[in-house]
Amino acid sequence: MENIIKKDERIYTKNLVPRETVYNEKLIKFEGMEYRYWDPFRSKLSAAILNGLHDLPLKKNSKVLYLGAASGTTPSHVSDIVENGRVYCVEFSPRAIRKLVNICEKRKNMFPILEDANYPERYAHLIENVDFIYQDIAQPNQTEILIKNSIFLKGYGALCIKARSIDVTLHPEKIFKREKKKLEEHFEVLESLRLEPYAKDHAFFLFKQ
Amino acid sequence: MKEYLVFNAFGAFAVKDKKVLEHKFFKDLKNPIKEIKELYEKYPDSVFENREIAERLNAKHEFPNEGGIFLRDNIDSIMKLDNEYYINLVKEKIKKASESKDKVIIQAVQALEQVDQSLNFFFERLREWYGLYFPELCDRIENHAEFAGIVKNEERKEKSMGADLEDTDIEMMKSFADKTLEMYNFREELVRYIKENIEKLTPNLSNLINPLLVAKLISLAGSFKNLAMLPASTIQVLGAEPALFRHLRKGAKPPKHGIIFQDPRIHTAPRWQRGKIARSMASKIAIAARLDFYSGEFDESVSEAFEIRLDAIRRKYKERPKKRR
Repeated sequence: MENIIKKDERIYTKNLVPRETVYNEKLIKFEGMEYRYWDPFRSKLSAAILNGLHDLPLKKNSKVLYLGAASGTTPSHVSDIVENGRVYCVEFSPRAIRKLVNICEKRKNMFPILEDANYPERYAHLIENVDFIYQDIAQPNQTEILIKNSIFLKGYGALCIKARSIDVTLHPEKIFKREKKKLEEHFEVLESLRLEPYAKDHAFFLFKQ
Repeated sequence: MKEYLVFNAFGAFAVKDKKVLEHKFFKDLKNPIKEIKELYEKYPDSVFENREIAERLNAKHEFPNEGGIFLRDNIDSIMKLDNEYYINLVKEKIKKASESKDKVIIQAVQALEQVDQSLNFFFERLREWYGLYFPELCDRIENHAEFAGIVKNEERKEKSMGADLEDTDIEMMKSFADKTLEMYNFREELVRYIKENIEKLTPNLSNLINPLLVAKLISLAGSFKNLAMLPASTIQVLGAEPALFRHLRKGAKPPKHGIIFQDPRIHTAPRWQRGKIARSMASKIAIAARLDFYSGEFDESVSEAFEIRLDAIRRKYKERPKKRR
């Protein structure tokens, strides 16, 4: 995994904007470079890596479509990793995107988009085809949203499922199975993980087109 | 081979057979239609990806299409992208979203709920505090605001079982009473402000139920639009989420009412009528919300229909139902 280091069971990404933090995370020096601590309790992608994700197919020049960017905690680490690429950050909540916009002003490879990911047509003119889709939208139809957006995908993707947002009455295991099946109709699922203890009732899937 | 007319944030492109035939960069990024039109006149058979623009120009539409895919595949070879435009676009949208009146009212209602909470704490504290000095007054005056007014303006004249405190002690209590009353007056002002604004925004809803309750419903739904799109069954239990999820997950009894319980026609009704009244009221709220949001025209008949139904429930279910065995 490029631009990511692991030290003492913690992971860090190489800071794209030295001396700046995004959410008051710790900065460390390693072999003359500055790295930002990647908190698994705040970022599910970090939790997935710590829980044994074998491969994160992101390169230094990858283009990423990030659905559900929220206030930009995880996108900022993705932006560290794909330093010469681009991260298109789609978020629908004006309140949440406020902080994200501030982060984008400092990180030239992040492109904020305030739109509903249910309607890819509304932002098709703002993005390009991407090498990786990351989706973390806590909505009942989150897998369907991902599938709709795969028209922009040439490569890999990751989906983070929150069982509680899909159906509180069903057992999480059941939901994960069902959503995985939906994914398998369109993609090849490479890895499936649970995110305990960092996030409760969450599953993480890495897939390939 | 079909021709496609696609555009991104910075320019319009006529694409055919995986080649850009011609392109025009937008002079004014906020107003791209001019260049798009010019290009469309030169390539009148082209297919658009964007539905909105296609409909405006009466052009063919297909999403996604080959032209768009080509453009999204080759942006780097066509142009250099800069995120500044994206940032400004989002900032403008945030501004617009914050300008909608319901957002302001939601914040005001949430402020009111917190002010109410704090006021209760303050009044209770004032009673305990002043009670050291003049306990008889605390027991005599039940109304909080009246009590605080007396603490602020009057002296203890009668013989009391309270402690004889120093002037500086009493001064501090009086000052606290004064600040609390000030907050109390602000609360009244806030209520007036919310009522006036909500009545303007939702004439039908405000006619059906208390405008403050309307504001609370909008706050729970997240926005005026959300409320107008909710089914009556959800409106009925808005504000009773813990009870609802207890029902869904563990099979407990479903809640009969959420925040609409605050309407006196529900909470003063006999227990066995409340569920029926709540269900009818929620349906009328759903109708009124849609009227207010989509047409804005005032229609008395919604409230009238509810009153008729209310009467019917009261008459038909006058007696407590016998327990089923």
